[in-house]
Amino acid sequence: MSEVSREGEKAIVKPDQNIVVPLAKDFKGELKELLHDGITHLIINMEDVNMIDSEGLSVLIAAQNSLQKLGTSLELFNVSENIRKLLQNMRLDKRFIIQDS
Amino acid sequence: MTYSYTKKTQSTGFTIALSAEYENIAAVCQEVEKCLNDHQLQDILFSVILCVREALVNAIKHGCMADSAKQVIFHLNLQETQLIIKVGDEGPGFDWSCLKNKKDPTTCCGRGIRIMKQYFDTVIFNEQGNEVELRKKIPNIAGY
Repeated sequence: MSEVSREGEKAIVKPDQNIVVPLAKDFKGELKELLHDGITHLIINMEDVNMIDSEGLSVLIAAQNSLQKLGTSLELFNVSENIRKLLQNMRLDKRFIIQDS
Repeated sequence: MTYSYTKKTQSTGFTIALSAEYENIAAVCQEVEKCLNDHQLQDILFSVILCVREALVNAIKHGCMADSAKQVIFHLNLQETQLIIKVGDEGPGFDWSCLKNKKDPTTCCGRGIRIMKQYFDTVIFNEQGNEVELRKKIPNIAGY
């Protein structure tokens, strides 16, 4: 489960575990619910995420695809060096806004 | 939980037979992590664990359709200059020769094999397409 802080249409989501199979599915549900609930500015605090697999990346991409239709972008912060490199390797680092920690 | 897991240790690695359930992935990753730590290979821990996860998820999800009655075999062999990982399943296999080199970063799927190819030097499927072998060159393995 993630910790969610909401302020109007903005939400900061902090997953408390790695975004991998089989947990990524629950995280997807959480993000989907926020987007259905009118959130247009979505920020993910990756502080407690040490690993993300292809399923987890798919969750982030699906959220980004939804946000893109609303004219915004998914933001990530507190991204570990390993995950940052993975995003670069998968050419996803330009798809999201990755804030410097 | 009914999932099963059996580990057999060899001189240069280990083999784990697991039922095709996602709950087993974490246990395999723990064994891999311990092995890499024992050989002071922390530098490659993230990439190896990530690829082990990808290979196991593929075997469980696509190979065995998450049927717990089916088995996945995981094998790790740490040689003097390379790490070899094999993951096989009881599924019918897939036509790996048709693998497309998907490069569209907006697609939501098809990224697992790309990740494996990114972090390992060699990614080979057997003829049937139900076993993948990953090879990574590693200089100066501790304990050799």
